[in-house]
Amino acid sequence: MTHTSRARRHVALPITGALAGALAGALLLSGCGSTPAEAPTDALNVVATTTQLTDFATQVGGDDISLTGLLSVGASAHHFDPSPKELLALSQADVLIVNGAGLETFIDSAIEASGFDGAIITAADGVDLEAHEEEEHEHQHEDEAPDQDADHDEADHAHEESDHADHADHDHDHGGVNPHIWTSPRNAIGMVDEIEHGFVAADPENEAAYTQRASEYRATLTALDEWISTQFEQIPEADRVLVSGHDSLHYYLEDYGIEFAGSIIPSFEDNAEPSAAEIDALVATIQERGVKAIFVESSMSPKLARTIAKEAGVTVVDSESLFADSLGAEGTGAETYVAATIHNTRVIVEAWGATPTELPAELGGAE
Amino acid sequence: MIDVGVFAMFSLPFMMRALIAIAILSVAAGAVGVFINFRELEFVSDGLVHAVFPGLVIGMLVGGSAGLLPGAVIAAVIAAALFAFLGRTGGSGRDAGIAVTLTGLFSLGVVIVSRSESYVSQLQELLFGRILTVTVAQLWQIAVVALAALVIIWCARRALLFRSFDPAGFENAGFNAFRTDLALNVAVALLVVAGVQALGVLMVIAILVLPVAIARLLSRALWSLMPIATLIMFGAGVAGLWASFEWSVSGRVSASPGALIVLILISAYIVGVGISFAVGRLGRKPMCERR
Repeated sequence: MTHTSRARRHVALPITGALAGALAGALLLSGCGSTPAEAPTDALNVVATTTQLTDFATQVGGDDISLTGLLSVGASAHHFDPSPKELLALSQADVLIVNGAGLETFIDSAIEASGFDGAIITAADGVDLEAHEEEEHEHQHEDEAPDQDADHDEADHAHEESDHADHADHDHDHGGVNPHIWTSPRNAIGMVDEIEHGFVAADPENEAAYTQRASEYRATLTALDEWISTQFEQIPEADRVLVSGHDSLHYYLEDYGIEFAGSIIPSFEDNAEPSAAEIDALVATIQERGVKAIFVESSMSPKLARTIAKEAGVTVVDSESLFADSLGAEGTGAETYVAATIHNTRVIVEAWGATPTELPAELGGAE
Repeated sequence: MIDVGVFAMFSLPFMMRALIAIAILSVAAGAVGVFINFRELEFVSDGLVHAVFPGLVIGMLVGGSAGLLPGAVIAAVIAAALFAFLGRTGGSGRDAGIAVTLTGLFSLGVVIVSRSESYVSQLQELLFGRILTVTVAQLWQIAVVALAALVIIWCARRALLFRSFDPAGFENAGFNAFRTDLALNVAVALLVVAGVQALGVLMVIAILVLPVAIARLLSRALWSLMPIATLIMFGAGVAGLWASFEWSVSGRVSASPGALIVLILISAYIVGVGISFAVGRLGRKPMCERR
C-alpha cells in the first residue's frame, strides 16, 4: 500500500463507522417505535384463506371471534403472497380455515413461515366430493381422489396439501378435483357445518352461539338454493349452456343443470393465456352450441373474452362480472357470499333473456 | 394494541429465517462481489442470473419446489462454463455472446413456464422471490450453495487477484486463464442460485454488484472491501426487512422486503457517491489498472 492510500484509509474508516453507526441507530430507534397490530383478544383468533370462507366465518363466529382474511377481494383464489402483517396474524391465530380440495397450494409455506400451530379447519371435508367425482370421469385423465382425512393433525394436513400441490403441478387442465367447491350453495352448507364444528372444538364455551348462528345461516343458504333453482327453471334446458373465464362455477352449474361449454382459460390461472388453437376450438364450440353470452369472473381481465366473443359473434357480459374466485369489493353489492351468489344468478338469467323473480323473505336481508 | 419491538419482530419464524438468509447472502456476496467488481463481470453476472431462470423452471416442473435448487445449479454451471468460454474471445464479441445467451435462455424459461398449470404465480415467485416464506430446508440449501461459492473463491483467490490486476503477467506466468475464469463464474453462478430463492431472478443482481460498489466508494483498502460490503449488505437487509414489516403491520403499504432491500442498497450507493464527491475523491486514478 502506498502512502496516499494510507491517507485515504483514514478518510474511509470514519465514513464506514458513521454508516454502521447510523444503521445501528436506526435499528435501536425502531425498537422503541411501537407497532399497532391486531391485538390478540380473548376472542378466538381466526384466520381464513378465501373471501368466501372469511364470510362464512363471520356468519358463524359473529362477535365471538377475531377474524383475519388472507386473500384480498378481487384477487384470484389460486395464488397468494403473504405480507408480514398476514404472517403475523397467522402466527397469533388459534384456528386457520382453509378451503382444501387442493386450492391453497400456497398455505404450507405460509404456515411454516409464521410458526402457526393452531387447529386447521378444512372446509372441503364437509362436502361430499365423491358424489362429484362421477361427473369428473368425462374429463381427461383421472387423478387419484384426495383422501379426505378427518384427521386434522398438522403434519398430516401439510402432507395432504403438498400431495395436491404436486398433482396440480403435473396435470394440465382439470385432473383431480375442481377446488371451487363454494360456488354451489349446497356445498356451502357442508362447509359451514365444518366451520361450526371447528369453532365449537376450539372454543367450547361459546358452543350455543356458534350452533345458533350456523343453523340460521344454513337456513339462508337453503333458501338461496331454492331461489336459484326457480330462476333456472324458467330457461329451457337446451339454452342452459355457459362459457366462463375459467372453470370456476363447476359445482354451481352442476347443481342447476347448466352445461359448461368451455372456458377461456384452460387452467385455473386467471392471468394465463390460451393458445390460438384453444381459442379457435372454443369459438367453434360456442357457435355450434348456440351459446348466447360469455361471462367473465371478477378476478380476470375481460379483454380476451371480448376477443373471443367478437370472433364467435356473441355478447360478452363484462359490465357485470361473476364473483367466483372472490367476493365483490365494498359497494359492488356482492360483499357477502349470499349477495354474490344472487348477483351471479341474476346476471346469468338476465343474459339468457329471462327475468329473475323477487327474492324470498329469508334472502331479503342479503339485498 | 401489542408492541412488536425489533427483537420480538425478528423472533418471529419468518423474520428470523429471512434474516439468516440475508446474513448468509451478505457474506457470500461480499466475497464473490469483490471479484465481480475487479474483473468487471457485472454483465456476465447478469447473464448468469438470466441463464439460471430456465434451470429454475425445469427444476420446478420436474420436482416442485424441491427441484428448484438442483435445476438452478445445473443451469448455472452450464452457463458459467459457456460464459468462460465466450470470455476467451474477449472484447465486444464476448458481450454480444453473453447478450444473445442471456435473452435466449431467459425466453426459453418463459416458454417452458407457460406450459405449466399455474404459470403466472410461479413466474412471479421466480422473478421476485419470496424471502418471507423461505423454509428451513431452503435455508440449508442457501447455506450450502453459498459456502460452496466461498470455498471456490478462497481456493482461487491468488489466481483471481493476479488475473484481475495483471492479466498479461498472469498469462506469462503460465496460469490458465480459462480455469480461473471458470472458477469465478461458477462461484458467481452459485451465489445467484443461493440468492434467487430469497430475492428472485430480477433482484439478485443487485446484491452481487451494489454492496461492493458502495464499499469501493467508502474505502480504498483492498482488505477492507469484503467486510464493508458484507456489513452494508446485512445492514440493508435488516433495514429492508424491518421497514417491510413495520409498514405492512401498520397497514400503510405492503411492500416486498426484497424490493425494499434493493432500494436501500441503491440509496446507499447514491449517498456513497455524494460522500465521495464531497471528500473529493472522484476523478482520481482508479485503484487498479483495468484491462
